[in-house]
Amino acid sequence: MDSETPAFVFPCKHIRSKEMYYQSSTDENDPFSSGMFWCARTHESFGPDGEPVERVECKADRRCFEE
Amino acid sequence: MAKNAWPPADKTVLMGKRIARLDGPAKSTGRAKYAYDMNRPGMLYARLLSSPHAAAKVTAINLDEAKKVPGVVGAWAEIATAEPDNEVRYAGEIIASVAATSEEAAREALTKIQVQYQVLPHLVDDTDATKSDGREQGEDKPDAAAVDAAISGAEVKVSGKYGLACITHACHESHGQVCEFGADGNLYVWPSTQNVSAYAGGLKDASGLAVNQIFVDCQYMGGGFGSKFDSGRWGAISVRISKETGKPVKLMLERDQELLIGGNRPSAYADVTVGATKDGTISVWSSNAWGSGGMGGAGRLGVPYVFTKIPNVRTLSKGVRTNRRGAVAWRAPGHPQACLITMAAIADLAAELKMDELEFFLKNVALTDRPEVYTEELKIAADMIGYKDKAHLRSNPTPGTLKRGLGIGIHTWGGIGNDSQTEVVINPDGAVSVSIGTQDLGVGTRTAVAIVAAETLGLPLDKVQANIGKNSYPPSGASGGSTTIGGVSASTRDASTIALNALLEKVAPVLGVTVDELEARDGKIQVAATPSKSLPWAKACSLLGQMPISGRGENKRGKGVSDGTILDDQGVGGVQIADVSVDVETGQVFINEFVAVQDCGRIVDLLTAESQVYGALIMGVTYALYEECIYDNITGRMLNADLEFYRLATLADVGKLKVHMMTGPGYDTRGVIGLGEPPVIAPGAAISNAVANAIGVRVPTLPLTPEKVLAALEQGGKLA
Repeated sequence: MDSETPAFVFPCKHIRSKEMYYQSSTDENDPFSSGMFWCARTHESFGPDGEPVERVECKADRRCFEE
Repeated sequence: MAKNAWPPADKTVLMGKRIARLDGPAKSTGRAKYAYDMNRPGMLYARLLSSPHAAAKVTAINLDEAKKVPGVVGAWAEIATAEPDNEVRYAGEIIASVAATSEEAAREALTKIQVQYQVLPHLVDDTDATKSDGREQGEDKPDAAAVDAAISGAEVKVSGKYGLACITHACHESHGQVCEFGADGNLYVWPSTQNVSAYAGGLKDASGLAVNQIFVDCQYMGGGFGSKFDSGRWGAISVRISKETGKPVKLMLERDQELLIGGNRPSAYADVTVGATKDGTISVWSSNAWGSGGMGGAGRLGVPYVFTKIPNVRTLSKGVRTNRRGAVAWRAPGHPQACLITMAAIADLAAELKMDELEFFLKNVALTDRPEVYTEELKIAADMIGYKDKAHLRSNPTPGTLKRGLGIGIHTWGGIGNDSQTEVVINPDGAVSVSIGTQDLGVGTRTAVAIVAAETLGLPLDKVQANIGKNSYPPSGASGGSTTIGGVSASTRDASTIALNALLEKVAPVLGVTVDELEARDGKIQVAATPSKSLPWAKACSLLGQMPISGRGENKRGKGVSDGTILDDQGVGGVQIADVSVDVETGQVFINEFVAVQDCGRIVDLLTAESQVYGALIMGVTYALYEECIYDNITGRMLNADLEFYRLATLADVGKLKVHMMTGPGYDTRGVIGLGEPPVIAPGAAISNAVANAIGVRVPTLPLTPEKVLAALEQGGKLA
């Protein structure tokens, strides 16, 4: 990998959005995407740690994160 | 050889015509079975206990007395009682579950569960962003100085606060499912879902099975509106109970829980300043918006809406974290909110200019992405409602205490077709089966699939059997984002074409022509140039011998079907104009007429397309005038979690509805585009603008309740 290429960061495997169920890829800048996420473990908009579920939030420094 | 491209609209036999739903008789006679109607031998009824507190820590749960209730098979804690996982974050959150041999026993057992809470401070008020502990999500575009300069330089400007309360999805069929582990070790599930093909994934962990051991069947469902993609905690809990007890389990949310935890469309509020030149050209937009999606994000709010080419724009937005159920996608997430905020501010600017609202919209239509479409639609809508005869400036209200007014809203949506696969089987006796793992949310998907197959095969509609609603059929995307009709129409057309071409290969030598010379039409396979040279469908199919033939079609989002033909499309516009009367003594709003003009590309079934728009208008009247999750700031509880005080519109409330679907060149020459989202976006804006036009002042927030109308009149339109 090129040293200037930012490493791809896998989101938590439990993050879900409705768009995942009808399109094979999601574009965060798509004006028609909901911008709403839930956790497949809690089925809530917050994770097992009580913090919000979002693509940028569900990362490796959370105790509930799973890749 | 049959081609995938759609035939010209004037050459179709079924597509684009008004065709009644195939399952209408089953639904109207009660033969249609929904999840709640499923009953299995030895089935248990599960029920859930919700937290009465908006914020608390659970320190103990005693299930002993619940387990003693006759008929109760089990009771379970659904939340930890020790740190750090024992925190409740909203009233309604699931605390415990029970299962019993009757619904009555299950309900009684819930009352026997003893829970100790350590109550914590909560926040449920989302109307004041300064009280929030939410994180900033702001963005500046372009630089603030340029926008400030544009505001200062605007020849006319208005500032106002606009917004919409949080509402819930209020599905008539509540969330839930019936599930059963079979003797074969597989799990069989009958859910209410808008996500048949991928629903099983949500039950994988609870069941301990691989997804290919979970069989989903949803033939009918009673409303999802974006809230039924996930199996939910209730789904996982019912599977776990079924696994533990070895019994089938039915777990459907009770009505109060349906309103508490079934869904949540986030609120949105904004302080807006918008300016224009004296001739009425919008020159600047600045807004500071906030909203609440419970403990998660509030989703996207794209303002200024539709008028995306306003030259100077600054938008800030902030999510307010409240102790409410988290945001769940509701038809066109963020768009009804953005539409109301934008159209209200723009209509107020027109009023400030003392300019007719329609004239103002037409003047600024160049600031949208679809000026030609909106111009045409605005003129049609104006003609349909008799705009010229009824319109008046806001500063010139009608006489008397019953004030009449008109208001406009315009909207947009994408709606490209989803990823979808269909299998079409042609049998030697001529019978045709179409199978696809899609779902019909009540909008006519089953009928549309049959129409496309029948049109392609040249058959009457009743000669095609449409099989949907099972995850054992070829996978098809969930119904979200108005992507269903584009995806399923494309994959069904593709599959039908492939199967038909296999049949034509058998027929061509019999008729002494090449495959390219044949077509399927009017129940026959015929030579296109010499229709008298033909074989009836059944005779043609007899050439298959004893083996059926099949075609598997596929639509890939944005990439077309198997041969690359693009059969769907994206990007629509719509215009709505409301005609209302407002009693300025009581504050009541009455809908006189409500007109919708909608583009959706190529129409598969004109009747169900119009029906979609009528339904959206009714839902729009509901959220414009009545719907609001009312929370008590002291207890943190939702006060109207029932259908008595969470009011939905009845037919007596919606006025005379008129729908016009755009057809002809530029519309039905496009691909198929979904309609689930677009027509439900603008009603709030159109009705709010009509009320402002009627009474001369803006009622700043939806719903437009009598109390708010009277307050606006008293305060001259300023938010208290």
